[in-house]
Amino acid sequence: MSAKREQLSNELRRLRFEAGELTQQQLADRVGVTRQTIIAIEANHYAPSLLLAFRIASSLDRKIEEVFSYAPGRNGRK
Amino acid sequence: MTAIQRHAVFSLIVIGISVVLFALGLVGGLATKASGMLGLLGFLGFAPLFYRKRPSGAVVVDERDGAIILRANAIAFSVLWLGLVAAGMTTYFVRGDAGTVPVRALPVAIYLAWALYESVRSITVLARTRSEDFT
Repeated sequence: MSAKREQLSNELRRLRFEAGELTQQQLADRVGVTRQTIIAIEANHYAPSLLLAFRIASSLDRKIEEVFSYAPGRNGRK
Repeated sequence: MTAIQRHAVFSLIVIGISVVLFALGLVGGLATKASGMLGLLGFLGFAPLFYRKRPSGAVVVDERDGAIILRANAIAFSVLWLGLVAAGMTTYFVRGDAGTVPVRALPVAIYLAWALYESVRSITVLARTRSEDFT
């Protein structure tokens, strides 16, 4: 039986559209990363640094917990 | 395509051409001239051009690219080290304790070691960025 992994999920895609239908490139330019990084974050394939997470939240005028949510794993780290 | 992907593709093309020409030279029986073909690896020195600042001010390399490069370098270094140890052991067992190798083998060994390192690094970068699955 495999242990449930801790997960970082986000509402980036929805919030982008709510913030005036920002494109991935526009958001990337605002926070200083490449578009590929925004794509990877939206797909939950890349966990951004704390600084980048705050930058993204700030650029969308949201609190960080509105953008990102954390689910602890069942085993090991909580 | 990001800068690190363009760099990786460029490196693989340069290494591919160099190694193929080197191999063709060896098959043709021109060992000394064939090693000169590895001099084409010098084109890898143009890699910094991929990381020039864009006139638009767009980001060239970000934190995810940095993490991918770090992991790719670690994997490439491991493979390089294994390759060097294997090459050393093979030479020892083939040539014997008091055996000798031609002087021209030294630069060829260095060129091929660098080609191995750079190709593994490039393949890892492409695999990591393509899968977009890097946490």
